[in-house]
Amino acid sequence: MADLLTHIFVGYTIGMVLTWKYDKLKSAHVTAVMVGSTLPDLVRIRLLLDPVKIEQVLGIPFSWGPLHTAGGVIIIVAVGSLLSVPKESKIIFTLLLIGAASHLLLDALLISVSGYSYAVLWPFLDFHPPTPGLYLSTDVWPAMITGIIALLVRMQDQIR
Amino acid sequence: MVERLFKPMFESKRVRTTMMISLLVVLLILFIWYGSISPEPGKGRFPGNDELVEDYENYIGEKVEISGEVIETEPLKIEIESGDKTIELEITGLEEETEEGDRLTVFGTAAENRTIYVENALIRPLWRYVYMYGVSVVGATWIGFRVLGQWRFDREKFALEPRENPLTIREIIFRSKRGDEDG
Repeated sequence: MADLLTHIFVGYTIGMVLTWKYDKLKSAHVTAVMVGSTLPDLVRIRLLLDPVKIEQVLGIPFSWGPLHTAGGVIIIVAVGSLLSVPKESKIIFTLLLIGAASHLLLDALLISVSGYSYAVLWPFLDFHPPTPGLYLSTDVWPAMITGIIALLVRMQDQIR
Repeated sequence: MVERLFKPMFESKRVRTTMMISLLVVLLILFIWYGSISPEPGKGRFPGNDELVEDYENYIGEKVEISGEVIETEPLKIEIESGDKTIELEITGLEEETEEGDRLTVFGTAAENRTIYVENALIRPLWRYVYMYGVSVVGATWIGFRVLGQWRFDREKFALEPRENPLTIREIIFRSKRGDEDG
């Protein structure tokens, strides 16, 4: 997982560009893409609710892992779209999904010591694809680069 | 046709709630399913902290992917965690220097005497993690303000709706009442 701020900058950039293309979209919709870009990191709930302890208490296997895979993300996005007013549901579903997909894609490029990333497309595909290893979630530069791009997009938006 | 069927369905609070609950049940099934998956190196899934802490001896001779805190440098030892339990592992074959407190992520082969032969490793000082969580909080705060300013919860429809007139940060903080304010 790249750091959350990098994901949000990317979500913001995608959302803003979408508003240039589709007049119907407002800044509330840019926010929806940004929210989508954070959703896979709901998996960090594992820091609060340790899955190993949950397994011990319930006596069944348990992992938060699916939240950071395509399958779990689609479910969370669907729940999110159902939380919005019915006339917005379809567009919110699409925007959240775009944001979340950008997150999964960026994280599939992270450096990994084994050379393999994570089960991106689980449960549709049970495979950890090899990663080109472009950056670490603890690197400082991804947030700087994506932050500069987001800022340029914002400036361009104000000119328009 | 599909539109005509779906529209009234989505309008109904009860239908939406039922759909959400069903989706969460499916998600719960995924949590249990994923938890029951075993390591499978052929698919890029290697034994990790949980497996080694549970039963190290079972994985001797296998490739493993672990991470933990450096607790000793001569010889290099790390502590890996899983639930309430921890074990100490000796790391051999790492050329780079490490310091106590660094976070080490290792890919290597598990050998006798709780020793890992390194094939590839990442050494990260603690401040990198502090940075990562720090900027993540900044990002989350930014999104929080945008959501509060641009969306409102309509109690009647029991759903979130974009505001006609987005609130400014000042208005969010001081909770000033406006026409479209509704919690």
